[in-house]
Amino acid sequence: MNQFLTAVEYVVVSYFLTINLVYLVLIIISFFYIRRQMGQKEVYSLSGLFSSNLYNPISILAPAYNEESTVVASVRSLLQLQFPNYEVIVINDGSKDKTMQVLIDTFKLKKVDRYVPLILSHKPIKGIYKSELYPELLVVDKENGRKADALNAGINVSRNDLICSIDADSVLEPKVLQSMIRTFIEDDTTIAVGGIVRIANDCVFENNELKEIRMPKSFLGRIQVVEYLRAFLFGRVGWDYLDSLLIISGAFGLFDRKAVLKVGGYLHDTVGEDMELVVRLHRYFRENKIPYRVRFVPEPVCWTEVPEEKAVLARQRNRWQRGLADTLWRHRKMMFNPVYGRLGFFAMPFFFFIEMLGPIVEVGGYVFLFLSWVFGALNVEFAIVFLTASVLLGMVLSVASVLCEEFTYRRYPDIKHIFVMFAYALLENFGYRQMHSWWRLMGLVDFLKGNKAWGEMTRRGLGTNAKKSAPTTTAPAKRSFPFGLLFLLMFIGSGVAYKYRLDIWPPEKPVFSAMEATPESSPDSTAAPAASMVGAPFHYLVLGTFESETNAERFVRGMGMLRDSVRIRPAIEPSGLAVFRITAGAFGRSLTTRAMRDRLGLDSTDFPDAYAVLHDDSVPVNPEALRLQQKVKVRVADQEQSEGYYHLVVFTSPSNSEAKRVVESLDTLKSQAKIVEMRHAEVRTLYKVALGRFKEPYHTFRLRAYYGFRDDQFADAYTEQFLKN
Amino acid sequence: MEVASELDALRFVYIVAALLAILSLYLLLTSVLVRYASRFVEKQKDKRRTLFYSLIITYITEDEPDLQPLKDAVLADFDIDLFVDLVGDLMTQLDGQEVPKLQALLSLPVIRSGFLKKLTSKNPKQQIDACLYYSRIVQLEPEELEILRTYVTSSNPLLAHSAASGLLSSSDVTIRFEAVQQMVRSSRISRLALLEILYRFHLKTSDQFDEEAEFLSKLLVDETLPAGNVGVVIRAITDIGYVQLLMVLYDLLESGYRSTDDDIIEALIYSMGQFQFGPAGDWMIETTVHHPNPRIRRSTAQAFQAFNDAKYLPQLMELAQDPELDVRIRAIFAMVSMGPEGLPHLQQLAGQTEDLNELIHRIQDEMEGA
Repeated sequence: MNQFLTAVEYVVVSYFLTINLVYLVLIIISFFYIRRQMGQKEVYSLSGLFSSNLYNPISILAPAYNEESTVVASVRSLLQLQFPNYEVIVINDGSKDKTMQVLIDTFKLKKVDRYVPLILSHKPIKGIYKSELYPELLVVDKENGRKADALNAGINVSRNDLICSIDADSVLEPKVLQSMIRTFIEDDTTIAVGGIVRIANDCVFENNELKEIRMPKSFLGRIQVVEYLRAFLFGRVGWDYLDSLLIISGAFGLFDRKAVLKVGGYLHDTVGEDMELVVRLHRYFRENKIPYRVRFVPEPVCWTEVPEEKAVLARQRNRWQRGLADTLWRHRKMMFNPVYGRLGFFAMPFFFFIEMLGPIVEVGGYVFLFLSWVFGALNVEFAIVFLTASVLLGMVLSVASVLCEEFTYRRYPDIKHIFVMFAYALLENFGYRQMHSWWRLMGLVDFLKGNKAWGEMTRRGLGTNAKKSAPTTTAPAKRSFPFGLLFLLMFIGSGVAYKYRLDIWPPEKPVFSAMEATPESSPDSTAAPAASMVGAPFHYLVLGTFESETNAERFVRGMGMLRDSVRIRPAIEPSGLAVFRITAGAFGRSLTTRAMRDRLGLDSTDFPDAYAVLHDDSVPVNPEALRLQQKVKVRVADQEQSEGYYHLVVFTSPSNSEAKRVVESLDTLKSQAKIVEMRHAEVRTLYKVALGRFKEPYHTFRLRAYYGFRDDQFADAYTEQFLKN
Repeated sequence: MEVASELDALRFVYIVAALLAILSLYLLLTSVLVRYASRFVEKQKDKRRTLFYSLIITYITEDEPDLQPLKDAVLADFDIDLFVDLVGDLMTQLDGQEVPKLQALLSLPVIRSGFLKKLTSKNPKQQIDACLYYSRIVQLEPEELEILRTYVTSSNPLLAHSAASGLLSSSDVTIRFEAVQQMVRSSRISRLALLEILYRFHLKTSDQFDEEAEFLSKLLVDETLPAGNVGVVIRAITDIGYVQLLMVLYDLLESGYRSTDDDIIEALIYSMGQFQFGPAGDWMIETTVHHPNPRIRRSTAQAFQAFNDAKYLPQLMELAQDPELDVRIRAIFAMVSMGPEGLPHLQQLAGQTEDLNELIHRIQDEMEGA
C-alpha cells in the first residue's frame, strides 16, 4: 500500500512540476516577446495601402442568437470601427426572441436578393437584409443551427478576403482591425490571427465605446481577470512565439477566408468549433506542405462579458473542456507525428497531457490526499507545506502575468487594481481552483458520454440589466456533487473562505452602467480640455446631396484614408439626402479636407472655410482652424458656454436663409445648444473619373452653413429633428 | 535513514515555499514600482507634450515664426522622439502652408543629429525609429541617403520596409524608385506591403506622373524579379492609373512575356480589363479562355465584362460552363452586364441545368437590386 501511495505521490509531484515548468518557460518567453513587440514602432503606415483598391477588405461576422437586448449596441459598436472598407454581417441564427425585428426596425433593413454560393453547408437562409442607414451592414436571417453553422453562412455570404469572427456580445476597440491586418501585411502566408480578449464586466461604455476600464465587482469576475491575463498574455503569446498556436478565441479572430473555405469552414458537431478550426487549418496546411502562419497579436483588444454566476461559469468551462477533448480526439493523428513538427511533438501533447488530463490528475490528487489521510499514510506537515508551495507557485505565475501587464499595456488604470489582481491570484487557489478542476473533469465525463449540448449561457448584457440566454440545445444536467464538504475536508477553511467571498461579492450593478447615463451626466464631464489636445473627438454632421444611395455610398467608400481616421456613419434619409455622421479626432477636420481634395480632385483653396470651427481659446485645436478662426472672425459670444469644445455641424440646404430657418426652428436644439455663428460657403466639385472606376461624374457637394454645438448629443438631437422635418 | 530523507524533503519544500513567497512579493512590489515609474514618466511626457504643442502651434500660426523658443525647449527637455511624434501627427493631419513649416521643425539640427546617431547605431529598433523619422524628411543628406540605401537591402523585413519609407519621402523620383526596386526584388515581401510601397511611390502632389511611369516600366521587363511581385506592380500601375504604360503592358501580354508565370498573366489580363483595352480581347480569345489555371479563366471573364462587347458572348458561354464555380459566376455576371444582347445566351444557359438556372436568376435579381 505504501509503495502504491509513494508511486502515486511521485506521479502527482512530477506532473505538478512539469506543468509549472512549462508555464514558467512560456511566461519567460512571452515576457521578452511582448517587450520586443512593444518597443517596435509601426513600420507599415497603411496610408498607401488604404488608398489602393487592391488590398484585402474585411467582413466581420457576428452570429446572434436571442440577443434582442444587446444586438443593437453590439452592431453599432461594430459600425464605428476605424477601418476603410469593411462590412458587418450579422447572422441571426433563428432567434426565438425579437432579435430580427429589433435589427429591422433600428437599422431600417430591407430584404435584398444576394447570390450566396453554397460553398459551406449550413441551415437554410430565410433572407438577407441590407440596411438603408448603413450600407456596410448586412443581416442574414437563417434557421437555427448553432454558432458554427451561423459562421459558415456568414462566410458564404461574405465576399471579402478576410473574415473576422466575433461574438455578438463583444465590443472591439476602434483600431483593432488596423492592428490585426498588419500581421497579414508582414507575412503573406498568414492565415489566421487572434487577439487579446479582456473582461468587460463593470467597465463603462458610452455610445458603444469603452470609456472607462474597471475591475469587475464580483468574485468570479475578478478571478477571471487574472485567468484571462494568464491565458492571453503569456499562454497564447508563448505559443505564438513557438509557432504552435492551437487556439484563437471564438470571441475574436481574423481569418483568411480562402484558407477557411479550403478546410471546409467551421464544424457543426462540436462545441469547440474555434479551436477545432485552428487545429484543422494547421493540419491541412502541414499535410499539404503549404507555408502558413497562425499568429497571435497581443495588442488588439476585444472586450467581452464573462459569466459571473457559478452555474453559468460551470457550464462554460464544461463546454470548453468538451471542446478541447473533442478537438484532440478528432486530430489525434497529429500527436507525436513528425509530419506536424513541433505541433505534433509539443503543442498537441501539452494540450492533451496538461490541459485535457489536468483535471483528472488534480482531482485525483485531492482524492489521494484525502485517502492518505484516512489511512493514516499522510505526513500532514509535508502535505500542508507542499500545498502551500503549489499555491505559491500558481500565484507566482499569476503575479508574473500581472507584472507582464504592467510592463506592457497597463490597461487597468488604478494602482489598487494591481493589489486586487494579486489578492485574487492568491484567492483563486482556495476553492475556485478545485471547483474549476471539477467542472473540467465533468466536462471530460460529458465528452465521454457524447454530450454535445452548448449549455444555457446567461449574461447581463451590454448596458442593460436584461438577462440574455443563448441556449442552442438542452443544458447539461445539474451536478449535485458536494463541493463545499469535499473541499472543507481537504483544505480546512478554503471552502468556507470561498463561500464567504461569494457572499461579499454578489453581482451588483449593470455591467455597462454608463450606457444608461442620463444626459446631464454625460459628455462634457469627460471632455476635459487637456484631454482634447490631441485626438479629442469632434463630431460632424455632413449632409451631402447625392443622386442615389449608390453614389452616396461610393462617396464614402472613396474617402479612403479618411475612413481610417474618422468614423463615418452614413445614412439615407427618406427625401434622398445622404447623411454622414463623421466622428474625427481634433485634427480630423483638416484630414477631411485633405481627403476630399485628394479624392475629389479639389484644390485646397476651394473650401478653406471648411476649417472654420468654434472652440474654446484655451484648448489648442487645429492650428489651421485657429488661423481661419481669426480670418472669419468666428467668436464664441458667451464665454460661459465656451468650456470644453464644440462640434462642427455642416449641412446643406437650398439657401443660407433656409438653413438658418431650419436650425432656428429646432426648439429642442435651441434650448440646449448655443447657435453661435453661421457661415456660408459653397463648394462645387466634380469627382475626377479615375480610370472608369466611377463612370459618372460626381455630384456637386455643397457646404452651406456651420453650427457649433457643445457635444454630440445635441448634434444627435439636431440630426433627428432635421430628418423628421 | 528514511526519516532523514523525509526531513530533507520537508526542508526542501519549506525552502521552496519560502522562496516562492518572496518571489510573489517581489513581483508584486515590482509591479507597483513599475506603475509608479510609468506614471511619473507619463506625467513628464504630458508636461513636455503640452509645452511642445503650444510652441509648435504658435510657431506655425505666426506669419514670421521664431524658431528659437522651440530650439530652446527641445534642448532643455531633450525628448526628440516625443517632439518628432507630435510634429509627425500634425503633418499627417494638416496640409497647406503648415507642412513646410512642420518639415522645417523636423529638420532642426539638434533633432537631425539625434536621429543620425540612431540611424548609425547597431540596434535595429533604433535604426527603424530613425528610418521612420526620415520618412518625413523630404531633403535627405548624402550620408543619410547612403545609410538608408544600405538598409533597404537588409534581411530584416521591418528595417528594409522602414528604410524604403525613408527613401520614399524624397521628392526625387530616382531615389523613390530605388526604394521600390529593392522592395520588388525581395522575395520575402508580402503583396500588401509591396502595394503600400508602390502607392507611396506615386507622389500625388508633384507633377512626376510620366517620370514615375517610365521608371516603373523598367520593372516590367526585368526578368530577374519575382513573378508574384511583378504581378503586384502591374496591378498597382493599373489601379493608380499610369495609362502611359498601357501599350507596354499589352506588348508584354501579346508577346507571351513570362507566359509561364500565371501571376503576371493574370495581372496583365486584369490590367487590360481595367483599361478597357479591347484589342487585347482577341488575344485572350485565343489564349486564355482555355487556360489550365482557373484564376486566369476567371480574370478573362472579368476582362470580357469590362470590354462590354457582345462579340465575347460565345467565349463567355464557354466560361459559364466551366468546371470551376468562380469562373462560372464571373462569366454569368459578365453576360448579365451585356444587357439585352446577353439575354438569349443566358436563356440558353438557363435551360441546361436547374443549378445554373437558379444561379442566373439570383445574379440577375441581385444586379437589378444594385
